[in-house]
Amino acid sequence: MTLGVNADELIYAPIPKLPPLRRIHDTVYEQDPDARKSLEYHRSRPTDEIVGSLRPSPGNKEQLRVKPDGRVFQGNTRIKVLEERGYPVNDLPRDVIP
Amino acid sequence: MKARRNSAGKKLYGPTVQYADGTVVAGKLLDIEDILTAFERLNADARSAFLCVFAHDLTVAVRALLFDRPVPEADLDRVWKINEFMHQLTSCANPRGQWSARDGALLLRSIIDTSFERGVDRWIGHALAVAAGNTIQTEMPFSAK
Repeated sequence: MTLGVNADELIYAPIPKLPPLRRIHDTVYEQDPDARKSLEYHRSRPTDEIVGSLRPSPGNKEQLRVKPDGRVFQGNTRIKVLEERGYPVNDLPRDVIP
Repeated sequence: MKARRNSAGKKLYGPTVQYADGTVVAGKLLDIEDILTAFERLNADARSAFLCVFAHDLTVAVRALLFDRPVPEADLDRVWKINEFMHQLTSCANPRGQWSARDGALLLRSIIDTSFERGVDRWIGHALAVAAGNTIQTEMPFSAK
């Protein structure tokens, strides 16, 4: 079937992208020894374990919780560790805080 | 005997989940009666875990409500109420405390009822879903794609 337009004129609807994640605790690791310890702990954990802990599912009590604008309200330290490892954190499912 | 039913007709929902492709799966409707009944049947250790998870989840509500300044007066009132809930929940969760299973269920019922009156029901629904999902082996109140 002819659509009446050339293929190079077609406009493709972009796949909707979520706002990138933004950690709300960026400087806390330098200021707060407890936060630093938490960071060191999570750095010792394997990537798949961290990713699993962020997934919104019935067995998880601390899943990734994010505002619609991408600000992270739960999972900041784990997201930081994943970013350090080059993990695509913006692909993670998000428990949305309205 | 079951806890009293003041929240009849009112609804709580579990977490809403958004996926990288933009799909949004709305939170599932919670069966409050089922959850409270199952809570009463848990052993003391599991009840304590339920209450700890519930209270911990509410700390995220406080973060979210207080993060953007200035904080509207209505949100300060919500934080005040949520703090009261956490105060009661953490007392009830103490394994050396005197709370029975029924007392715990009555407390949860009271918190649920008050949550509708104080406009914090969405936070309580989330916390209830997460606590139930972690400690009660029933149909899980979570969204799934």
